[in-house]
Formats: sequence, structure tokens, C-alpha cells
Amino acid sequence: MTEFDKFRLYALRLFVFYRWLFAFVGIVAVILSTVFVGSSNNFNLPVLQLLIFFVSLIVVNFLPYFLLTAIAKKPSRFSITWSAYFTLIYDLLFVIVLVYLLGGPSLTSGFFFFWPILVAVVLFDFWLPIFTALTSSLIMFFLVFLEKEGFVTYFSNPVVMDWAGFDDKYNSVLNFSLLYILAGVILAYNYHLVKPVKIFKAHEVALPTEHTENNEKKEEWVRHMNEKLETAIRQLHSKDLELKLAKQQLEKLEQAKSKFISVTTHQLRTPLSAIKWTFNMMLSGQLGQISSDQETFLSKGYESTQRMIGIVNNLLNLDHIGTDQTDLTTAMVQLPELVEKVAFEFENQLESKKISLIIKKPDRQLPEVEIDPSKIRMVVENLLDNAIKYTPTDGQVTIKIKDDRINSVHPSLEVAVEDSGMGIPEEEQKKIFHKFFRASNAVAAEPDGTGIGLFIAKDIIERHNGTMWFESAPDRGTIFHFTLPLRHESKSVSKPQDQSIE
Amino acid sequence: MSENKKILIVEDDEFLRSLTVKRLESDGYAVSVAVDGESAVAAVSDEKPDLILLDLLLPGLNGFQVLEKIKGVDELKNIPVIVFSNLGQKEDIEKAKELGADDFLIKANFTLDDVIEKVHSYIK
Repeated sequence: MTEFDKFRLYALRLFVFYRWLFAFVGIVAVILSTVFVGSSNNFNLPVLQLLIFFVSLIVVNFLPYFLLTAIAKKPSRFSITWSAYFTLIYDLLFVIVLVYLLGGPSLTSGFFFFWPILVAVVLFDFWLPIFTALTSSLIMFFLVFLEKEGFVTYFSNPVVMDWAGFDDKYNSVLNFSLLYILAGVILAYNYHLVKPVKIFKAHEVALPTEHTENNEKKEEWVRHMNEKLETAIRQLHSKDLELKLAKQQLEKLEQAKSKFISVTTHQLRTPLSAIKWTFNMMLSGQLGQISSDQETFLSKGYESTQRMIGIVNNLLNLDHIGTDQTDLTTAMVQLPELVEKVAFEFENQLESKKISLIIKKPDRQLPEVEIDPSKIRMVVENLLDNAIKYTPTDGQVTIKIKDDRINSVHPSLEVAVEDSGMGIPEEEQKKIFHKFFRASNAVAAEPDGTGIGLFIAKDIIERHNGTMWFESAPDRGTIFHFTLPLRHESKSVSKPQDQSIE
Repeated sequence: MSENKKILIVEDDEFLRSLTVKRLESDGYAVSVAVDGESAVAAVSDEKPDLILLDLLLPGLNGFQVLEKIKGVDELKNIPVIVFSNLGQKEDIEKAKELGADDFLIKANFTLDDVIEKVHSYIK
């Protein structure tokens, strides 16, 4: 279907209307001719036959009318083309009948062949109008021939237009003029039909209507996609709500957990303090002299209590790591002093396992480091505790404090805690700093232990912008190192994970 | 040396309190006790001790509130206060310091001997 077809359909339906118009005008003309002119020989018309002709034209015209209306609902190139052929033949036939009724071929009657030629020009290409014109001429000749040979007689003399009061020359000119004017009027009126034909000769101009079927499919597809989108959006909304609720619940849970840990640990501390002090009082002899056996056992009790307090403290710290604790309260500290204080705490344990502890530090006075003393204290405690725990009796623990200022970019001090213990198995070494991880041999030697000590220790060191690492050989011992820069680079120390360096 | 020095202990746990009292008395201090916030404030203004050992978790008025009250009174605000608690979170220590506490000890982390040392250092 092209623009041209659409146009042709329009033209065809217009022609239906023209035929009715023509029939109506014809009827009026015939009636008028009887009224005004009487039955003079000049306009000798077979009135009755003509009336019948026009009426039947009106009636028969309904056929193309309905046909074209039906075609208009579902137009196609095929139906339109054949309608055009049909119309042409149909019009030709009617013109032949009309010519017959008007007394055979004559100037006047021959004029009516103009109509099928116009139809052909509008509906078809170059050749068909030419062909139509030739056919019309042939028909005219044929009709004359028939008359001459006597096959046909016409109803009347050929209608000739003789205007009363004009002589022949003027008469002819008048007739011609009338024809020209009529032709001109008809053409002009139908120019809007003829002109666009040229434009629409571009048959390739495909109409969107060509794709009416595709259009419907597209619309359906769009509708379908819209439905899908709407469903997806609805699902996203409900998922979003779900996630919001889940997040709220998690936050509540987190708060509840924090509260629980906080409350529990504080509650635990009170009786633990009582036990610790009781043991301490007894051990110090304030409640009377104690035997060495009593002392041994009381010491064990005291140590266990210390352990428990340590675990409770760790739990609290762990919970704090969940909350945002990025600032450290720093002070200028003499590192060797801190180390020695911690070592003092472990005297009992060292003695009971007969492990000797050596602290090595450089001869020169070391500079103070800017650190959070309580946190670094925890780190040293943790390392020393591990060293003692995992070293058998008669073992050796060495703490070395080194001055790292000379060889490194950032001036710092290094602390190394070395033991002669069981070491860390190679396969498990990379997990040693993980939360809650304990090496298998550690668990075997010491069932008690949370596995968070090293995790916390590493975190603290890193928050000081230092580094922590270790070397270990199974059954030979382990050395844990950490460095502490002398100065903090920035006021608020953010966790290394927060910085997108690695 | 420690004669006539009065120490007020505000502590709601009976056992811990008695242990602390015993220890301080054996060192020659005069010790009085308060078991909750209200009576603590009253005791401070009545007795005007030379040092206060103040627990934070107390029935009724808590330690922070007691601290605030004491430090708001002119004649009382110069008495050294050692906060003595098992609350050990940073916010708590900060808050206590802000309200005017002179020191903060976590009971579970110190022995009574450590406590005595601290007391000595503040009462001079």
C-alpha cells in the first residue's frame, strides 16, 4: 500500500459521488429541456429513456459505493487496483449507453468520453489514459460503423445543439466554447485529483499505513513491555521496603547486641573485681600468713581471674571495634617503660612456666612515641601472653625494642616479641590475624582462647599507622614485630580499610 | 600521715565496699560509706571528706549526677574525687572527666593496693 493507493481509493469514492451528481444534473437537465424548449427538433431527447438511464445510474452506483466502503476498512493494493479497473470499464460502458441514447456518436455525445479518460488519468499511469482515449475513439468509429451497416439504430437523431438565432459559424463556435468551458471547469475542479497524481507517482513512498499490521504488533509489544516494567517497578518497591525493614532490624539487633555486651561485661566485672581483690588480699598476707601450698593455689586462682577479666575486657573492645572508634587518645610515651610495666604483669606466669624473659633495648635513650598508651599496652600484653602460652616450660621469651629511624622513611620504633614455642603451621599463617581464628596447635595446647587478640592488636597498630607482621617456624618459635611511627601524621587516625590505597 | 584523713566511699556492692573499707582502715584512714547517690550527696556536705571514691552505677541518683552536684557546690568542689567503677567505656571516662573527676579507675583492672597508692597520691 502506498500513498498512491490511498489516493486512488479516495478518488474512486469521489467518483461515486460525482456519478450521483451527474445523474442528478442529468435528470434536472432532461426535465428542464422539456419545460423550456418543448419538443423542438433541436433538442430531441428521448426523455423517458434518459430518465431511466439516469435513475439506473443512481441505483447501480450503489454497487461501487458499498464495495469501496468495504475496501476502505481494510484497504490493499490489490483491491484498490482492481476497483480502479472495474471503475474504468464501468464508466466506459455507461458512457457508451449514454452516447447511444443521445443519438449516436456526435460532438455532443462524444464529449462524454472525456469522463473515462479523466478517470484513467487520475487512477492510472501514462499508458492507460492513452489507451482509454484510443479505445473511446475506436468505440465511436465502431458505433458509426454499426449504424452505417444497419446493425443499430439510435433512438433519435444525433443531438445537435443548434442555438436559435445563431447562424452556423457562430453556432459551431458557441458549441465548441461551451465544450471547452465545460471541460475546463471539470478539469479545474478535478485538478486537485490530477495534480497530486504526479506527486504520488512515487509509488515507493510507503505509507505508515503500509505497516498497519506492524503498528499493531508494535503497540502490543509496547503494552506488554509496559506491563512488565510496571511489575518490575512494583517488585522493586516491595524489595526496597523489605530491605529498609531488614536494615532497621539489623540496626536494632546491633544496638541490642552492644547493649547486651556492655551490660553483661560490666555486670561480670563487679564479681570479678571482688574475687581478684580477695585473692590479692590473701596472697599479700593481709589475712594472715599462708603456706607455700596455699600460695601456689591462690596464685592460680588469681591468674585465672586475671584471665577472665582480660577476656571480658577484650569482649568490650571487640564490640567497640564494631562501633566507630577511630580516635585514639595519644600521649608521648617511653616505649621501653611501657614494655617493662607489661612484663611485670606477667611475672607470675613466667615463673610458673619457668620461662625466662629478656628485654633488649638500645643503649641510647630512645625518643618518646606519640601513642595511645592503653591500646599499645594491650598489644604488648597480647603478644607477651601468646608468647608465654605457646612456649613450653623452660622456654625463652625475648622482647627487643629497636630504633628504626635510620633505615626508614618514617621515623619509627620497632618492637619484636620472640618466643621459643610451637610456632605457627605454614598453612595457617595467613589466617593468623583473622577475627576468631586460632591455629590448630594453639587450640590443642590451650583450649581456652577467643582468637580475637591478634585481630585487635593488628587493628590498633594499624590505626597508629604502624605495621605488624611475624616470622614463624614450627617447633622453633615465633617472632611478632610491630612498628610505631614516632609521630602521628594526622589528628584523627582513620582505619586503613577506609583509605582506598590497596 | 594518714591520721584524721577522712575518705568517703560510695559503693552499692556490699562485698566490694567492705573489702575496700577494711583495706583503707588498715592503712589508717577514717572511712565512711554511702550506698546510694542521695545519701552520698548528703554525706559529702555533712562530713566534707578529704577524698571521695565514687562508683558510677548506683541505685537512684547515679555517680555522674552525684559528681555534678558535688562539683557545683563551692565548698565541696575542691575535694578530690576518684571515680571507681566497672563502667569503662570511653564515653564514660570522658564524661566523668568533664564533670570534674580527678581520676578514673576500673575496679576489675586494679588491685586494692593500686587503689591505696592512688589515694595516697591525691591526699597530701
